[in-house]
Amino acid sequence: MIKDAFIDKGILSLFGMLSKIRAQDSPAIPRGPASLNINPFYKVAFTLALIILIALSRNLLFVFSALSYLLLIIAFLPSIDLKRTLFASLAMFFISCLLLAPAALSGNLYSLFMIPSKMFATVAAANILSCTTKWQSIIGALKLFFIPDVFIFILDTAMKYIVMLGELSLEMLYAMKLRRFGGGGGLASLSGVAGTVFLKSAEMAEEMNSAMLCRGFRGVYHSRAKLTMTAADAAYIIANASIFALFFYLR
Amino acid sequence: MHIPDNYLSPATCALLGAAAAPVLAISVKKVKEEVSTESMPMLGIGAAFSFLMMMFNVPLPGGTTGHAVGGTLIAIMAGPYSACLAVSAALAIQALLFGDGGILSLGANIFNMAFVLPFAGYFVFSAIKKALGSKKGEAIGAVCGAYIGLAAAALLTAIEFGIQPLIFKDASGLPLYCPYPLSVSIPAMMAPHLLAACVVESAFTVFIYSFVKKVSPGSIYAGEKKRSKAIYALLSVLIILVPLGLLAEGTAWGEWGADEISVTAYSGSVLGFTPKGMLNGFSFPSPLPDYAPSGMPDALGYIISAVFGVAVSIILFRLLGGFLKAKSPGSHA
Amino acid sequence: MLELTDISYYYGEHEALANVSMNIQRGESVSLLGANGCGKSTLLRILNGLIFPSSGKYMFGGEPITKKSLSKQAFSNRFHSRIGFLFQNVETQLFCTDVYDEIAFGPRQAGMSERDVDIRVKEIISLMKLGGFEHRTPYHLSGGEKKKIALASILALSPEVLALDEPMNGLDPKSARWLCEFLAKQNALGTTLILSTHNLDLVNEITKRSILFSEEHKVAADLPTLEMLENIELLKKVNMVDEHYSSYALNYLPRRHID
Repeated sequence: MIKDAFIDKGILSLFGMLSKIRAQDSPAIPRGPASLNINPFYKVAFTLALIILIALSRNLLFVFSALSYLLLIIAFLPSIDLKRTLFASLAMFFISCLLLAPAALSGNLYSLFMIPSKMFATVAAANILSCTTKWQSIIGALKLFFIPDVFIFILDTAMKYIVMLGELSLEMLYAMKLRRFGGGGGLASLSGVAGTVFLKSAEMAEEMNSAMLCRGFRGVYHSRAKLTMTAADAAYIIANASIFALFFYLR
Repeated sequence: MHIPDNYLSPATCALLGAAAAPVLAISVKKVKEEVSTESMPMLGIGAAFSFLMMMFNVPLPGGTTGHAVGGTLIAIMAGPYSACLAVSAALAIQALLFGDGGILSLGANIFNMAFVLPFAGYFVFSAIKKALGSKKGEAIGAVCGAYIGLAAAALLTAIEFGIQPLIFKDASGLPLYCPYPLSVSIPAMMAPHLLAACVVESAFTVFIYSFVKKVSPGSIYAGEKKRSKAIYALLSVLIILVPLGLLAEGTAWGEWGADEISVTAYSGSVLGFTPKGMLNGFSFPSPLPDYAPSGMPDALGYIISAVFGVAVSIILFRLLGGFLKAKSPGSHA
Repeated sequence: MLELTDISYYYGEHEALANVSMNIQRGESVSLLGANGCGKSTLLRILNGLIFPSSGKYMFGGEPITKKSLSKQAFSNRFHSRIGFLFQNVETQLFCTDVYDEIAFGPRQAGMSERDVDIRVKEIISLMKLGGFEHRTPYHLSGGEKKKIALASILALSPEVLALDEPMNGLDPKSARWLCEFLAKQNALGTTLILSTHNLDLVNEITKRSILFSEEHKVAADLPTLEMLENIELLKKVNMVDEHYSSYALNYLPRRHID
């Protein structure tokens, strides 16, 4: 059984990833009062801005203010997202504390307080964005940041095929687990799985290319995004603007 | 290997991001020329493959497991430019859609893992393949390429960490970001990479490469028809320019810091605190008890403390509620 | 409408089509029959201008389809909007983020204005009864729904010819029946149908003419569908059916004699 640990780990990580994508893509998103249908463009823009300000800040009070704001959002997330975001952020917080402990022993307490708090805040901000927004919307919002259509297309396709190839890999890992009685040959059979996924992906890429040609693809992919403003958007912008004002005030 | 946010200064992130941008642009152009006229699906699907590679756990001696990056592998199988784009897109997806890895440090991560790793790996692979020629040469090339590619990326990461305390310091000389100098960061990064991660990477690379080669030899990247040295020239220029740029950025940053943020502003912020004050002043979960910095109304501090306290209590309450709910069916039974 | 003269195709050393000739008129409905690996899919790819024959000539609507003629953007666009292709594996065919964009992709690529695109998409959605699906993500839908959407996205360009590779594969009986009736209706409205299949049950209902491929990648017979299905010896010869088919055919096909 120990010999199969790597298969189990592979299955677990694939499974976790797929279920996360599915949860994120469910029609129920955006859900919860924390994400009152705010335009993804604003969410992406302000999350990015907040992360930049947190990174720039040298003021612990500002970092704590941002942290309080993020914690408040976390507090109102649906419980599955709450746990996921909180645990991801706490994990980074403690890893940073551990990493910085030697520096703290030599007297550098600033890093020990500042960096883990910043870590917690940035990881929380990124996770809040990712669990309250559909990935299509996040990618679509990038369009408004003048990201070229090619990259948007690459990200879109990649997400779709992560699901398809991920399901294929998962099935192959299950099949491998069922067939492996004696153990041994782990790496060789695993590379068979990965190699097959590679070949399959090459095949799918070719077929998708053909399908696009048949539908008159001219080499330019246009993605569309609209910028609108609702009351929820305005409230979100005001909340974020006050955090930004605080940054400059405290500097 | 993924650099999280806040360990590198925003200036370093911006600089490495700026260095990665032309590389990506060249790669898009190259892939479009090389693969076929319309190769866009291939780019996205390559990214999906690269993303999944990082989910495959490989058995390590002693019952542990580790995962590979697969950058060199994709470079050997689909060409270094495709690999560059595929790994970049995979990193972007991890950062933006999964909240894994830094968002600001995405540029740095792309530079290390999507640019230096596959190109260094591919360069070593093709040099060895050319020198030895035979089938054995390819296998040896794949092993060495993967090992050196990952090692190079790890070294670069270590250097990026290590120069932070040299360049980005506050007025009192305390490091603002990663506090460890090169003498600590290089051995700390390199030891586990050279001993474990690189080994996993090379084993995985050579096994998959031989598998694909055996099953479907036609699907392996044949190499550029016209060998272009341009990207290697760019690589060397960037390797020279980036540290220079960092130094320049760093001094500019330092000046800005000294001029703009006056000592009085500092005195109101945390940097004016003595370590003792920090220890006393910030104890979880009410972090801002007696804290009223000069120039800031008390009320603001109270409001922030209140928000923090309320948020933490709600979270604790809800977590507790969740655990109780999860347990209650059991207690009924 | 489609004229193929002496077409051969090689994948490297391996021969996939050998001296295939055929002529398909406007409004016809044709099945391409044959065992797995007989070259049906290759032929469909050639018909859609995705690959080009190693030798032989392919004319579409009186114009030659070659790598060179398709390299002209305007001609290529016109050609691709006149012939639509439903792939066997629909998953790779759906590449947009929601159903609306998926259907709108072709018209947008053809340079239609956003207003006309909207009208066209709504038409197709009501034609195929896809209301309520507009903003769903294609790949989370069921196999039948995906196929429907892929077909909708092709019909958005109102093609004169519809080429379908194994359209019934992976469909439950109800969806297969729906597709069958839908295709027959499109054909009655004037769309030329060309489909490859090894599902003999439904061939008879959709198509009037059948072209049978041998295992040597040649055309073995070109007959009206009913005659083809009754010619059990011929179907056996190309390894498409076995003994069991005989009894099935006897039970199923004589309907014509009763009528």
